[in-house]
Amino acid sequence: MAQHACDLTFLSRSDGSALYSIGLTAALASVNGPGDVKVSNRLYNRSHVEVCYSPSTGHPMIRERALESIIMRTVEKAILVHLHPRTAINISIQEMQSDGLALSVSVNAACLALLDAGIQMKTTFAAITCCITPFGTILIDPTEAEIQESVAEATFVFDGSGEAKVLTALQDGHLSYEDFKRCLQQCQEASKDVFAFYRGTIEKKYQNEIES
Amino acid sequence: MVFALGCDALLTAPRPRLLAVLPPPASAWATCYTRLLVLNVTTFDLLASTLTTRCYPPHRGPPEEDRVTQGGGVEAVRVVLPGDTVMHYNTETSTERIFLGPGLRWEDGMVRAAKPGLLKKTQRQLYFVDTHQKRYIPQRREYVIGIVTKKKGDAHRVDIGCGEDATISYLSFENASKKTRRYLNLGDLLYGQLMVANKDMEPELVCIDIYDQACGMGVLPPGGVLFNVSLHVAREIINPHSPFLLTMSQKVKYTLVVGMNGRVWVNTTHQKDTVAIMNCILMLEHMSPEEADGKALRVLEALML
Repeated sequence: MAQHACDLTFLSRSDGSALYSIGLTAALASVNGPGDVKVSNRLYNRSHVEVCYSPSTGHPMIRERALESIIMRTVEKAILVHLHPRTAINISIQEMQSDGLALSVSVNAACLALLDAGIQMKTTFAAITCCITPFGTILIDPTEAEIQESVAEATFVFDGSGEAKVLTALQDGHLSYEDFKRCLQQCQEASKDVFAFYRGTIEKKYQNEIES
Repeated sequence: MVFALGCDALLTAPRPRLLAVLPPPASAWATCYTRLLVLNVTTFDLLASTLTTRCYPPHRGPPEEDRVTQGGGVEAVRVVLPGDTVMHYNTETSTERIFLGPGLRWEDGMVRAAKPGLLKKTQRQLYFVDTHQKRYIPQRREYVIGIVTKKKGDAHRVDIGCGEDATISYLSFENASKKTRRYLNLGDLLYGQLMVANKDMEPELVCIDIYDQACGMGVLPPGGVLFNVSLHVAREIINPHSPFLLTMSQKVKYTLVVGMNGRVWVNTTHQKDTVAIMNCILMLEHMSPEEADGKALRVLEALML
């Protein structure tokens, strides 16, 4: 498993932000809200969640839109949206460096940015990407080159409750039912480390207060 | 029986005049609301007489009994993340009475955290999560600093740093009547109290207390500087007896107005002193109050050269 690293409150002017990296992939997420909302997006019973993904180079295209909608649907499940009606929660994600794990890095960065902003959530969430090599081995947090050579790639987003329930699953390539189950199980195991990492990061943020 | 109530449900009993500032007497809690209460910041604020961070009327400091107990009684339990189970609480079987403050939810017999932060507990079994955040969520009866952004008939729109602008009626100032109107200019700074604040309604600000007196609220005088700090810093310095503020006052005479929305207004006789105080307060963003207290004088001296 590649190394996870995170820097909270990376941006000084947003309500919450996090720079997150897994191996050589890094993304910067910034959360603003609950705040002002355009009239067209205003919902009477819940807050509007908006995700904006910008690639490291060039303009956002179809791939970025697809990522945005996946991240939005995941995040919406975790945030307690009904607590702030007629507001918007804006999540901007900037891809910094890409080595195949753009989606899982963005989801994790978004989660930590939400934690940094102190937005009320049902649960935390963490994404894990894995791929299956032609020989049938499962690689957790693969590199771009490893994904290119693999037969299938799968990303799972788990919630932070003890059972690590699946919030989102995304597969690409040829994946049999048995392989899928193996992937899911191994990713579930790996997610525990990520949640432990989250806890360590947040504990560091509140270190000052624990001591005093 | 469970009564899960928000602050407003507790206080929508006939409002005496403008602001109901008194909590029900302690015995009323026991009879009306047995066992479990879900409270939000303001009510819980009044309950937890031992909290270090409280909202005091601007003209007086904390009541005598609070000065004695301050700093004691609140116990930091641990760091929690959203979804963490704090405890099991079954209304049928649990006999002890607990109070839930901000950042906690009660669902399916479990008390869970909804915000990341430090779980704290007072001696009166009041649990809450102390979160460091920058965005203000309006709470009734909190003192805030707003900026007048728009004039709208009999009311003004005031930006208080949350999603929606608050309104203030021209009548909610001291000695204001239909004949003696209070004229506000766009960009004026207002120090007022939130009279209406709930998720479904537009926040409403007033600049008088229940006795129709301003007691420190109103338009902030010209001069001075307004800046933003995180909400936990604002809660830290809202206490006029905070050692950090007292240390700074040894060096400079200053006026400080703190809004619970993280806005801070400082004025001194010299501009450079104002800037020095501002920078000193901004130190709190990055260090604990004790640490900042030790450095305050040195930083002030360096900045006031």
